[in-house]
Amino acid sequence: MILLKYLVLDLLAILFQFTAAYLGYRIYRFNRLSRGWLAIVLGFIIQGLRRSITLLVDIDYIVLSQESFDLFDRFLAMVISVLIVVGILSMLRNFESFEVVSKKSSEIIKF
Amino acid sequence: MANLVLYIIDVHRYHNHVLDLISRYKDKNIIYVTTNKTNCYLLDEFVKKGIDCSRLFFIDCISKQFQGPICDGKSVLIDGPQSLTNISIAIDEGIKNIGNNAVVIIDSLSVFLIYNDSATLSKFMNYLLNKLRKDGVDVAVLVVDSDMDKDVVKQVTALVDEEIKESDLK
Repeated sequence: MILLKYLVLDLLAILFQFTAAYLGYRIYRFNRLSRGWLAIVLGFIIQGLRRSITLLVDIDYIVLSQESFDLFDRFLAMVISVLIVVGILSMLRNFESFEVVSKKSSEIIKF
Repeated sequence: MANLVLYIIDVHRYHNHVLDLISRYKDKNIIYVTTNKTNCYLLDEFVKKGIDCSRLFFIDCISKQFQGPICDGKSVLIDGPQSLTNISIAIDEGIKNIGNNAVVIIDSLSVFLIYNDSATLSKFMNYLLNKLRKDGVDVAVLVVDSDMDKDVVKQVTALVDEEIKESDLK
């Protein structure tokens, strides 16, 4: 049976994970820089679900064979990594565009 | 001292009033943020009207979407009216280079409203207008009269020093 301190830590981790997803979405709503940023938010949500599933398995609420669980867990980890790469890549393009606009404006708008 | 003005334009006479407006700022360096006509088209129209375009710079938020031509090398192309951060950067860099004998013409708030949600646009306008006021730069914000009941427009009205209706321009 899972120890109480582990349970508390897991619950806190889940709470913070979904908070991160919510804040990530608020960042998107604030400036709508790129829809790619939503991939990061989705990654946070899936990470929260992953932690939740792990907790439910630990307290025997969900019964899965160890092999099925390991495969599922690793699959989710891979999906999260892909989403983070997509999100970061789209943000990188945004930051590159800031640089380009800044340089071009500096060159063009002058006497 | 910066002068921030909201111009309320009749949509049917929009184009003529834009031309009149440019003439009003002939002694200033103009940064023209265009969202509904390409810089090439505007430049042609201004030249036809005999407007001196040597002090005119465009932040063009429309040509890139249609891969339109760039005219006269005085335009910074932005992805679209939704790229508020890029627009802000371009204005900021422009002001740094041409000093405060400048006016920023935002043409138009009505088109920005199509591409951005109300809350985001309100924050952007609040930031931009206060920043330009601090820098001592004049601002002319254009809006079509049918949009006057929109929340963003009401907020911008509260931020500007003056509100000029089409009839006052004649």
